Amino acid sequence: MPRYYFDVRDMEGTFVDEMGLDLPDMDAAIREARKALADMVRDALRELNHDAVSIAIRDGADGPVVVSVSLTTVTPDQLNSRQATD
Amino acid sequence: MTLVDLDIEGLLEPFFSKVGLRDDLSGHERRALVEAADELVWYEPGSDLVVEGERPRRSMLVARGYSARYRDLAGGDRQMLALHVTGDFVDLHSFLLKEMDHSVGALTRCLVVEFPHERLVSVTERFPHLTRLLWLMTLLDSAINREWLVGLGRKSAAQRTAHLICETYTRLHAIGLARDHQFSFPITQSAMADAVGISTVHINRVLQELRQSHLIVWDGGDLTIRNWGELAATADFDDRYLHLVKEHR
Repeated sequence: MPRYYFDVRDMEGTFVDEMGLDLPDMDAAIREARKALADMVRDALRELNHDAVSIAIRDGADGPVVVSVSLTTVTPDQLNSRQATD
Repeated sequence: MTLVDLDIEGLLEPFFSKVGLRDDLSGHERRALVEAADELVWYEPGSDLVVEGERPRRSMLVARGYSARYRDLAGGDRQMLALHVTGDFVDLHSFLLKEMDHSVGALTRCLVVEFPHERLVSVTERFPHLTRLLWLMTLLDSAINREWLVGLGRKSAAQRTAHLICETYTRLHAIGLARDHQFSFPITQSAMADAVGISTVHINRVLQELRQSHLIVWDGGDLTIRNWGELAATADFDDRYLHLVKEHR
């Protein structure tokens, strides 16, 4: 089974995975990353300034597959000024 | 007293310490429990002591090693329901519930002392105070479950992980099996993830953070808590739920 490495980036920085996880294929790795993001986002978004979490999945072969989640807060003012410029 | 009795009494010391923290056990009561014990069995790491759906005829006390109650879900995820340390009964409740609604697995090599249910029935008929203490043991398990529930519902993964570390150290320290904020904890990160209810990718991250903040040192063997005050504060850990108080029960 190939080994996949899950590097996590959030407002606190980047965590490089040195251990990795053996999984059948990249699809399985993406599912694992989504599960991990679900947990991490739950905690991260409770912190006021943490608006994004992403996981870069490395498999040693091609470029990393990046799965990311971001939160945007749009206030009515911002919405109005956006509509004005559309 | 036979040689086997001596062996069993020695193996039950952690349990007697656990009970002794909460109430006094008489010599007769100790003797009754030693006599109720039957087989000694070793379990390899990863093996099951008892399986969901089983109707065991004996209850097991883990005299050495770490074990865990768990449920496996259809998708392959595992949720750990409780972590058991040396001296814990792991399925005392099966004595009354009859059918297991979860499994118990060995996380490390475990030495189990078996207590046939018919002998436990005899103990309950002859030793009411000891019976209440066995009941108390199941209540202590429930108290830990409640604390885990609060964490799973409202705490972050980092807080839950910190809490589990504080809790395990406190449980071992209370019975004299750990001191100086250090304890042997040879369980996998995967098992830690199952205990805290997160993925292995996440536990990897959480543990790295705890290490980088100089709160713990752990390479998979001995775990050292470098800053108890800060770890306990992070975890919002208060040992009251462990009921480490001696009272007439």
